[in-house]
Amino acid sequence: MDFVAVTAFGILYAIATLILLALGLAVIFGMMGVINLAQAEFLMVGAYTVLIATAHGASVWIGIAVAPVVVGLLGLVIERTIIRFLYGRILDTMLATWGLSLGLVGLVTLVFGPTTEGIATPLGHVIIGRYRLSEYSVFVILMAFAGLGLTYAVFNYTRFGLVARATMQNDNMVSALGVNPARVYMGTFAFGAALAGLGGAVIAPLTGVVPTLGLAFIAKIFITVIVGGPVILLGTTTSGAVLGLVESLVSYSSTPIYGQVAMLAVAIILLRLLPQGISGFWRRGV
Amino acid sequence: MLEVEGLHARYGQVPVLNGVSLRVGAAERVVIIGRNGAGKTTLLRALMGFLRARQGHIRWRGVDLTHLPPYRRARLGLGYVPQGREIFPTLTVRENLRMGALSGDGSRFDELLQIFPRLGERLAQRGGSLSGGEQQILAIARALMGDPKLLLLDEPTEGVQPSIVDEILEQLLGINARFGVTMILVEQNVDFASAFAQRAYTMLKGQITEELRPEALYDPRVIADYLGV
Repeated sequence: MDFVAVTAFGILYAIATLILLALGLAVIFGMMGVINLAQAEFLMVGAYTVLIATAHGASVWIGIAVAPVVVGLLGLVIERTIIRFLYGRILDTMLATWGLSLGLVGLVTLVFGPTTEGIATPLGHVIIGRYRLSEYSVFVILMAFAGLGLTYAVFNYTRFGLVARATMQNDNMVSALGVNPARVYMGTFAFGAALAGLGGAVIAPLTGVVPTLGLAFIAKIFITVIVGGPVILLGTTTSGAVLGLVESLVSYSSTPIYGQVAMLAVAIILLRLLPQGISGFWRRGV
Repeated sequence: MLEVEGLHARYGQVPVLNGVSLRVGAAERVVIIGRNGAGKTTLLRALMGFLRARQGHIRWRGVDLTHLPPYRRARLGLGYVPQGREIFPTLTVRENLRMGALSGDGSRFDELLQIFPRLGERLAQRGGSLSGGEQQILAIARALMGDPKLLLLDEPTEGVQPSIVDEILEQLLGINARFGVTMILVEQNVDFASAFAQRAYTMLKGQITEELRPEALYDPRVIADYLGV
């Protein structure tokens, strides 16, 4: 019984981290169509923000609260200096953001060194039968829900969200209604970067912090968003649930390597059957 | 109110406006007729700022608009109902109208729903699920939400069923009277154009060629020169 409970919890945790880490990309790639290969480095900078905060005596929680702001501002600068010249130019965007990714990894390695730095995991443990569960992983799951809820609320209940959705559909028409679309793209990109910063910060105490931290996740989160399809939030949530379930089930019954292979295989099958992604035939929305 | 002088514009290397000049007064209703390719839509796009003026000037209530981007022109009181309507298909009717109110305070909402009762019944529907005529009405109402002083209308009758065309005509005349909105209409439908306008311009090869009274639009010579295929 406790084995079932702990396994179920592990699966939920795998799904939640996948969604939490993919959320920023769902906005930047799913909604804006920007293939940002430096998305992994947004996660990484979020994680380093927590590391720096704790190294200066602040708590992990402060670090997690500050990370979205830091990475959001970083996203803002990157949008203004690089991305805004490349909208609609897919190959150029990939090349530029790949270069940016290498540059950020190099810069962080130069400053902080190539070693993995640990952050003490806050909170304690709960005992379920013969198993110990970290309370922090419960927090991670809650943060995934919070991030989803926040993003949903921003896009559906705020003026910024309404204008952002309209701009992604028809930016010329938006400008004919008195809004500068360039500002909307800038804000949306920064918001996606901030979400990635949050994700990276939240997982930092569990994964350890290293300049190449994001590399482990970049493929997974792109796959999750692509399989999710055009309804970005519900689509990404659904695909995160399916892929996270497959990966963790197979990982538990064999090894994490096979888990990743199974996840990729399922993603390929899903995209073969539903080329537009899981939400391709849903009514459109966010 | 609006003064356009010697406006030139082109798509890439292809010149489409070759020195357009016109004047439109406050609360006036003016129609521009001409064949496909005469440059009517391009003229509206250039007035709204989607196309760069290579030469000439656009002045609006004493302000030089010539080099301002579209969103600045919208904030100065220009409203645009584009060809093909371009409503936001996945946004609801209510959200489409809210988008129109971004440069104003949205206080027009209830008033416009009285003028356009069809929209009031469909506020929660997605814009893309409306019929062509309803989408056209939505595009007009969206433009009016921002309290424009000059409304640019690009063939609002295109692909709209006749009963709704009559409805749109009455609504436009009512809005012009009620809010004092200046209107420039681009149209190929002679009945609609002559019933709507107080004054007509004809366009040929990117230039304004004649200024006519609306009754003159039925003149066989005018039809042959500017509307015949």
